[in-house]
Amino acid sequence: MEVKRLGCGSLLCTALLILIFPLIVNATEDNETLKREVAELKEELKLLKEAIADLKVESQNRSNLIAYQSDNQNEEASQAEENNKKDPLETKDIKNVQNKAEDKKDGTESKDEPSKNDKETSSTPTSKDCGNNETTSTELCCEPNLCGEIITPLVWRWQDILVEIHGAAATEFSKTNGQDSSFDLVDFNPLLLANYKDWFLLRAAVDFSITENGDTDTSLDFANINWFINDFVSLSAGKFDSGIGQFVQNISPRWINKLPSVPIGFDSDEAAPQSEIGIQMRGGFPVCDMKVNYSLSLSNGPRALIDTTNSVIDHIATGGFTAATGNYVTGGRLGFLPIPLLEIGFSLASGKLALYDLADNSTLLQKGRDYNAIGADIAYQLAEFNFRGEIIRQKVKAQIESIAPPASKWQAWYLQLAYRIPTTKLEPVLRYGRYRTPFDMNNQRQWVAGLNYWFTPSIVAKFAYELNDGQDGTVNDANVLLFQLAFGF
Amino acid sequence: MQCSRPLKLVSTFIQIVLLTGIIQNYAYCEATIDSNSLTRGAKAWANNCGRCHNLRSPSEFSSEQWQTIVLHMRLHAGLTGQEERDIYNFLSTQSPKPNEMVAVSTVQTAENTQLSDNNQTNGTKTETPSPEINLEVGKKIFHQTCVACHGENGKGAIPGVPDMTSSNSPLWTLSDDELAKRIEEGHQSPNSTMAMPAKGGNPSLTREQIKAVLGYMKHSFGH
Repeated sequence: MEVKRLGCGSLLCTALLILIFPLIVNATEDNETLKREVAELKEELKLLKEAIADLKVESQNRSNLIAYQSDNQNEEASQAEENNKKDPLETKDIKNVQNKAEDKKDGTESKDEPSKNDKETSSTPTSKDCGNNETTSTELCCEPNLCGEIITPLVWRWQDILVEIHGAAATEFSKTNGQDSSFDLVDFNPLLLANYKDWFLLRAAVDFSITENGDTDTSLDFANINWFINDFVSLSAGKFDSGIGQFVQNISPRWINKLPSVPIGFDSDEAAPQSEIGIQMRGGFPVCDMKVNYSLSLSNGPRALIDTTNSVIDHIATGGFTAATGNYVTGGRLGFLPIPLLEIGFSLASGKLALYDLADNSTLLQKGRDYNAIGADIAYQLAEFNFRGEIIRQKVKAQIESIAPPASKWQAWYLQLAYRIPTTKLEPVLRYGRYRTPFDMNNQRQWVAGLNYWFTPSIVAKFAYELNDGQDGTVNDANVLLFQLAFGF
Repeated sequence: MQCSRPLKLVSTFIQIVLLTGIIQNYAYCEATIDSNSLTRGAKAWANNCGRCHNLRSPSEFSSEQWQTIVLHMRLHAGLTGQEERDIYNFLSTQSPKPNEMVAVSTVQTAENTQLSDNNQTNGTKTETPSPEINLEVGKKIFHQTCVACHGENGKGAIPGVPDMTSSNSPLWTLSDDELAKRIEEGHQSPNSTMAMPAKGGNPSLTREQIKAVLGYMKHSFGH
């Protein structure tokens, strides 16, 4: 069985390569010529830039010199008049100075020893020289070749490396039927990006949120280093969002998600895998008129949390673990775009996981349990309409010699339609979702109706009402009113 | 068997990486700005970014910031390297650095020269084109610069863009001078989340070319 799975994995990879290879081999010789031409052009551009920088400095020096000399000339001329009355011999020197200044204006600088003016104007310009860039740091601004450009503190001195901070923040008010209302969410999610040219990109996101008891909960959402190998392949290593499905990796940021809540079954410890620690290949390539994108990963296996009192699997934890269990999962997603704004994706992952105790998260010394996940998703943007749907399932297979022998599966799906009302900032949203687990008390259906007001493309006020249908008497059956403010930057 | 499986997996993965490394020599392309880069970039920007989130205005970030952001988005959206470069070229025209200005203006000068040549071939000067040539020039510019957001039929290809075929749209309610000014300077509609960039992101459009685009739009999207 294992060999068969390995064979499938290899076959998938090989097929992928076979698809990619012919597309890129065509560009061989022309590329070489282009490369040479571009290199030559770059060289010329570099020389031009240097020449422009030199000219700028020279021009600045010249204008400073002229201004300084003009001032001096006036002063010295008036002094000369006074001295002329006192000592006619000194007048000669003053005239020399005046002649020298006039020579410099004409570009015929005399060969006398350097004057005070020359020394001053050849020194580093002051911040005053940088025009209106008052916010720019003096040191950076006054590099001659940088003068005039806006440089933020997050732009690295070495211009091949750029560092930026983006991210999102959100706060929320909610009222659950039968419970007290509260401001139940304060979340800050900064994202650091740093790239070296267009070869490497470091991405790291941290999540800060306030718990019910007022503590600050901190977690590393992801941190990975990406190497762009060529136009069609990038290799990522570290912790990354799970490549299975679409919501978790692309739609989950609060300023992107069109409703305040996550679709049922797509949150942590539910049906959708959340993150992985390992290596991942990503990219896209054209196939005729169609575009295809893909991700392929190899990562540490997840954990099955066992309720030892009942000998059942409570849930699958997919937050990404570094503990050595010898269990790995391979998987990926293939997305097809037959037309530009329609994407259809299929995901698959398979591997092994280890069993851990739900009570204290300690190992139960059982590993190598079969695990798989499958998913499919669709997204379509038609003018003002945005349609999205996704189904995902995680399964732990049965194993007779185990603390929790039976197979268990978690499945969730949702469909969502949003409509941006033309010439307004309003966007009504409707979503239906369903979540099935091995436990009746966790099963749920949900309708959500929402209305968004977009202040800007990334700042939104979301109002929504959830109609929840779960087991009577549980929180899954209570309707919820939500108001959320999300800010992406 | 337990020990060999992960090793085999790692081995397979390394093989794939090595293979992709080998084909790198064939596939790697230097960043180039050809005459269609801005057009492709505008289309790729509208087609890829809008699938997941609202389109951010090109003028929202500096050229340097876009460089990193687009690289980040390349991973999320599964963009090819060429798409990434095209989108960056398009976005960076709103906050260009001097060296990019050189590159972009070179491209646009080439395009303008081509347009001018076309006109001269037809025996008409660029400054005073005949109505027929104006339509041809306008059509060409519209399909290079405007089509990504306004759509081929003028009804709007992305949310927030007005339907130009509607009698209530700015195309039919504003004067030509007002429309030309909006195109020239960029425009933020009161209820739209995204602004139209100045000259549609094509910094070298001339006043005559803008008028030609307007002429083409009025001719094609009449109601």
